[in-house]
Amino acid sequence: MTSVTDRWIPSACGLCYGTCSIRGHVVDGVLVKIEGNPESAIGGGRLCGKGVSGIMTLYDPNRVDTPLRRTNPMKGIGIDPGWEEITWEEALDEVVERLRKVHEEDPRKLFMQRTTTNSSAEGPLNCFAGAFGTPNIWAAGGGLHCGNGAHLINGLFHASWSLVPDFPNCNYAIYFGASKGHGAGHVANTNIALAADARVRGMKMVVVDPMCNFASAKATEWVPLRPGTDAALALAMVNVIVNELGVWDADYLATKTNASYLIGPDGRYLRHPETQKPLVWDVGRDEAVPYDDPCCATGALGGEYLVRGVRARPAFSLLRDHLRQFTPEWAEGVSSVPAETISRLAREFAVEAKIGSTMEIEGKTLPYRPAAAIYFRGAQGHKNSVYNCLAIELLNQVVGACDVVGGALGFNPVSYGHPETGKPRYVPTAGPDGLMVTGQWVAAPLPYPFADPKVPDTMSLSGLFPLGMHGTAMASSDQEDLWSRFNLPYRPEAMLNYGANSLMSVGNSETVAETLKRIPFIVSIDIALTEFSAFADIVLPDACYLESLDSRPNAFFIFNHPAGLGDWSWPVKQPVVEPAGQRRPAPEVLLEIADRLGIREDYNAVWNVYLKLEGPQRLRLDTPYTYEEICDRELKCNFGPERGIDWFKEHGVISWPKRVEEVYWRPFLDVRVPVYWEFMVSLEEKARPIAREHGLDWDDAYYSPLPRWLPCPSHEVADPSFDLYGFYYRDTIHTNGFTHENPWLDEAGRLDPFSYAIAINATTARRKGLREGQQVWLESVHGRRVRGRLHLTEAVHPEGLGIGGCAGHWAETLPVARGKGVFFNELLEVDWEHTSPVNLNIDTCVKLRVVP
Amino acid sequence: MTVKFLGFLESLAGRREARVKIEDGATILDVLRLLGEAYGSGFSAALFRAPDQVQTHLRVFLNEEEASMTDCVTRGDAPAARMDLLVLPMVAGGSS
Repeated sequence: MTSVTDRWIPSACGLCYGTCSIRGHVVDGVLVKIEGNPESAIGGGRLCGKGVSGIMTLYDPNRVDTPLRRTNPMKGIGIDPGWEEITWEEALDEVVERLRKVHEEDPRKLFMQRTTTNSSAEGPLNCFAGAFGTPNIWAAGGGLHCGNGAHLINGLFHASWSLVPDFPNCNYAIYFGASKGHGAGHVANTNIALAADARVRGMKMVVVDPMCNFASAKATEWVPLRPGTDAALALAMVNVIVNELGVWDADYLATKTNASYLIGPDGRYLRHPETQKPLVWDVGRDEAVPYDDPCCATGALGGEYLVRGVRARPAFSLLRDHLRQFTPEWAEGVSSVPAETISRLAREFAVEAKIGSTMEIEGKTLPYRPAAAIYFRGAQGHKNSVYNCLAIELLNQVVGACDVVGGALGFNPVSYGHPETGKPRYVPTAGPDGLMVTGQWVAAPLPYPFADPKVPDTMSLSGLFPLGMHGTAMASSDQEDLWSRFNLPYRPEAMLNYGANSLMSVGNSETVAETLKRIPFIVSIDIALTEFSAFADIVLPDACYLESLDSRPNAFFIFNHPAGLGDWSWPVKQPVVEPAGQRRPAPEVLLEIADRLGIREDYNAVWNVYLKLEGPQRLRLDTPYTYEEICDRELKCNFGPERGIDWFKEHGVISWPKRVEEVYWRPFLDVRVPVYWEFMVSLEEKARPIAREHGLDWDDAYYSPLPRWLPCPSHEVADPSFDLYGFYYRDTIHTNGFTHENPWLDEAGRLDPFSYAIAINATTARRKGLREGQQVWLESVHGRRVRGRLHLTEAVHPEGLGIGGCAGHWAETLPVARGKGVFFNELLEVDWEHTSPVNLNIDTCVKLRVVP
Repeated sequence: MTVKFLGFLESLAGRREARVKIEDGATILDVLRLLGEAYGSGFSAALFRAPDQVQTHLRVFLNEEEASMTDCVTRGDAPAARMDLLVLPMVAGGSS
C-alpha cells in the first residue's frame, strides 16, 4: 500500500492578468482542485470560473511537450509547418546561433512579443530585451486595444494603471465601457465582492456601454450609446456641470491641478521670466506669481489678466469656454443618448459628489466625494482614445473626486512599504511644471513627462509619438511604407515570442500573417500550438503557471492589487506540480539563452534595476543565478533576509495593513494634474514637421490642449448599406484568446447565449428579416468577412453588433477551441488610417453589414 | 577606469568596454561627455537628450552600485575600478 500525500499549495492564478491568489490541492502529486486563497487580499479567497478551471489547462492533452522544429519553409495561414521533435540541446543551439548573428549585426533586429494574459511574462521578457539591446518589444495587441489611452490618462491623473470607485464609500459610479467589479480584469475577484457590497449598500451604478452585459446587467441604469462616442457624452456632461449648474471643486482645481495656470494667446503657460515656472493669478495680492509660491492664497480660476503686456486667462476659464460647444443636444446627435438623459446624469453626478464635504478616517479629516467616473477598454478602444478617456476623466477632476474618500481611486499609486523594511516604496512626485510623475509604472514610456518627438528609430514609430506605448506598425499592412518613410535602418531578422498569439490578438489575420512571413526566424515559447505557432521556426514547450515560479505575480501594486483600505498582500507563484514532459519555465530558458549568448552580465544588470535589488541582494554581474535565486533575492530585498523564496513557498503570501495616506493620498502629496494639456502645443509643434518631412499624413486635431470628440473611421463610412457598428467585448468566461481550449470554459461558452454568438438588437434584426440563431456573414467596408450565429437581444444598441473577443480559433492543434465563436479582430484594419496619430492606438469599432 | 557598455550601448559603441583616464574630481557626467565625443553621434544621442541632459533611461553603476550623474567617479580615495552603462527604454521606472 502506498502512502498518500495531501497538500494545499499557495500560489497565483495565471488564466488572466488578474492573477488572483490561489491554493492548489495536490494529492499524490496530482492537482485535484484549485480554490482562492483567503490569506491574500488579492482575491480574498474568491476565485472565478476561469480560475477553478486551471486544472484543465494544466492537464490539457493537447499541450506541446517537446521542442519542435519546422521542416516546411513555406509559411502561411493553413500551411502545415511540418513539425519535427528535437531535443532541447538542438533547439537552443539553433536559437542561439540565429540570435547571436542578430546580436552581432544590430540587436534592434530582434522583435520580441509577449502575452498580456500571463503577467509573469513581463519581467523576464522586458529584461531580456534590455539585455539583448532591442527596443522592439510589444504585447501583441495589448495596449493598442486596451491601454494606450486609458492607462495613459490613469497614469497622468491618478499615477495608476487603472481606476475603480472607492466601492465602500462611493454612492454614484458611472462606468464608460468598463467592467471593474464585474468579473474580468485587474483584481477581478476582490472587486466583484466590493462592487456587490456597494450595490447592496445602495451605490447607484450607471453603465454607459453599447451593450448591456456584465456591468450593465447589474447596474441601476444602462445608458446605451453609439460605439466610439464616449467623449461626446462626457464632454456634454462636464459642460452641464461647469456651465449650466456652475458646479466645481474650486479648492481641488486650484491646488491639485493646473486649472489656475495662466494661458497666453499662444496656448502656452505664462512663465516666470527667471525660473520659467508657470504663473497663476494670486487673488490675494492681485498679481501673477509662480504656481508654487508659498505666499499665494488662491490661484484664480476665472477672469482675464494683463501680465507684462500679455493678456492671459486661467486654464479653467479656457476649459469652461471650450466646453460650451458640447451641448447635450449636440451630444445626442453624436452618441444617440437623449439630451435630457445627459443633463440628468450630469446633475446627478455633480450633486452626488458632495463638493466641500469631508469624512474622518483614522483620525484624519479627508475630502469626501462619493462619485466616480470609470473608463476602460470600451471607451478607449478607438482612434480617439486619448480624448475619450480625458473627457471622462474631467468628470472626476471638476468635482475633485480623485483618490479621496468615495471617489475614483487609482490602484495603489502610493506605497510606503512593509513596516519592517519600508519596501516596496514608491510615491508620485512633482515633475516639470509641478505636474505629477508616477512613483511606479508598468511599461515604457512614463505617462509624464513626455520625451521630445524625434525621427523614430523603433519598429512601432513610438519616438515620434511620445504618448504611445505600443504602435500598430509592429504588424500593420503599411509597415514597410512607414519604416521606409522614416528610414528605419534595420528590419526584424528574428522574433522571440512568449505566449502571445498575434495572429488573432492584433487585427485581421491576413495583415499580421504577411508581417510575420517577412521575419526570417521566429522562436515561440508557449504551452500550446496556436495560430501563431504555425509561423514559428522553433517552438519551445513552456511550463504553465501551475508549473512555474514567480516572486512577483501581482507586481506592481499599481497594476493588480485591490484599491481602498485593507491589507497589502505580496504573494508568490510557485509550482503546484512539477512540469510534465520536457516543458521548461520560460524564465529559466531565457537565462540559458542569455548565458549561451554571453549577455548574462547585461541580463543581471537589467534585473538589478527592474527588481530594484539593493545591497547584498544585488546580483553580481558575472554570476549565473537561477531564476529561483533571482526571485529569492527580490523577496529578501523587499521583506528581509529571513523571508526568501523558501519562506514564501511555505506561507504563500505576506500581508500588512494599508495606511490612510497610501489609499486616500491626494491631500497628502503636493502634486498637480493637467486639466489643460499645454504640453500638446509643444509636442505638436515638434512632431508635425518631422511627420511632414517624411510624408506622413498629419492631423493636428488630435493635439489640442483641450479635449474634443473626434470621429472614428467607422463613423465616416458613407455607404448606407454598412449600417451597423461592430465591436467586441471582453467575455468574463474567457481571457482574450487564451482560454478557449479549456474544456470547462468552452462548455460554459457554449451554454452562454452570448459568448460564441453575434449579439444584434432584436428590433433591428426583425426589421432586416433576420432571425434568432441564423448563420450570417458580417462584412466590413474593406471586404473583410467573418461568419457567425446571430443572437437577438434587447441588450445591445440598435446600431451595434456585439461579439465576445477573442474567439474563432482555427488551428487544428486546438481541437476544443477550433471553430467556436466569432473572430472579431478579423474585421479590423491594421494601418495608419486606423491608428491614432497621437498615441498610436488602433480603432476597434468597425462599420459592418449583415449578409445572410 | 574600465567602462563597460551593456545592452544596446555595446552595439552603438562597437565594443564591449573602454578604458577611460579620470581626472581628479571628475563626475559621472564628465565621463559621459568624454564617451559621447569618443563614440559618435548615435552613441551620444543614447546618453544625452540635450547637451548635458542625460536620457531618463540611462543607468550608471560604479563598482556595480547604481550612481547618480553628479557623483564623483571615486569610491573611497581612488577612482572606481569599473563603470557600467545601461540604457533601459523598455523597463518601467518611476520615481521612488
